[in-house]
Amino acid sequence: MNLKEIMANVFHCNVEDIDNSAKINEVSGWDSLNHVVLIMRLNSEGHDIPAHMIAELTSYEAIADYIGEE
Amino acid sequence: VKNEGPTAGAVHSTEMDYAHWTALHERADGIFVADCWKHCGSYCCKTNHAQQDFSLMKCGSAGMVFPGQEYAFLKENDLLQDGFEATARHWNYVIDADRGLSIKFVTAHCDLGGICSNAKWRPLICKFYPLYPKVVAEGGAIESYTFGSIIDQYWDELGVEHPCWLYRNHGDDIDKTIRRTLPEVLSHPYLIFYLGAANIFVDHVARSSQGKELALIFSDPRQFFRAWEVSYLTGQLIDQEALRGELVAHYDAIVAHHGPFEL
Repeated sequence: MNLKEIMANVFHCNVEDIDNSAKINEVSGWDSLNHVVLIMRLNSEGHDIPAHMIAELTSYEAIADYIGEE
Repeated sequence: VKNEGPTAGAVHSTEMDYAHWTALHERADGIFVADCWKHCGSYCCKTNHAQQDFSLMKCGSAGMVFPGQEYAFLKENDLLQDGFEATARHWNYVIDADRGLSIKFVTAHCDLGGICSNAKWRPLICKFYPLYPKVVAEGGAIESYTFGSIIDQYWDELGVEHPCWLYRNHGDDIDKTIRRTLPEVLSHPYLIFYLGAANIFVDHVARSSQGKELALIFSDPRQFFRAWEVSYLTGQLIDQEALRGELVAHYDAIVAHHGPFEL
């Protein structure tokens, strides 16, 4: 799955709801708790996002840039 | 869920009826001091204090927590505030797997900013704010309080005045009102448990915060809140084993007076 598909899966929304400008608390299901779930999910899929970055990666673009996904 | 209690005897249902919920909500309305929001910009409904520099937790709204039965009652009677159902998340927190004990609660976001869509039936956590009572295990009296919001624990340590005008100016009056009007309707074992569980949880998190490196940055409120929210949301402020132990002990203390009951 690509990042948008993972996010939609975690947030229980449609992939189409995650556009490139998507941000936390502006997308249905992307709240603070699900944000932490998303980071854990990405780490379980081989990424290595440290705790101190959790509060920085609050947009689709920031996360995609960090994990190197276009 | 049928729980095996620590003592012999049938586990009795704890479902509260419409009359009990109505009495509880009507009496809890008496805590409210009209127009208090004019003094604080609706702080409790908006989480809008300038020092709360949250990155993840939503500002401009409030997080709701309901005992499972309270949420179910409001939902079944079409009494929920606008937006609660869309954001509701149902939790089942196991505190003793061997005995089948788990806490059922619901969280939701409130984006109404202080303008309730159904004020009479706003959640009990809102009606109790800025305090949150704990009832003695046997019922009939208030034992203590914790703060009505988990993020209100730290104002003293941060050297910042509590944002709630009610708390600052009418804390004693609120305490007296609660003690005078609520113990009877709060003395149901189900409510005794959930009120106490919330107190235990908040106190647990507060103690954990003070025992970690977070205490080192109490001098900078904005930095503190940013660090606190990540620690809190990632579970670093919760010792699961210790918390479960405290909650089971709380349950057992109530059972000793009321007999085994469903959570």
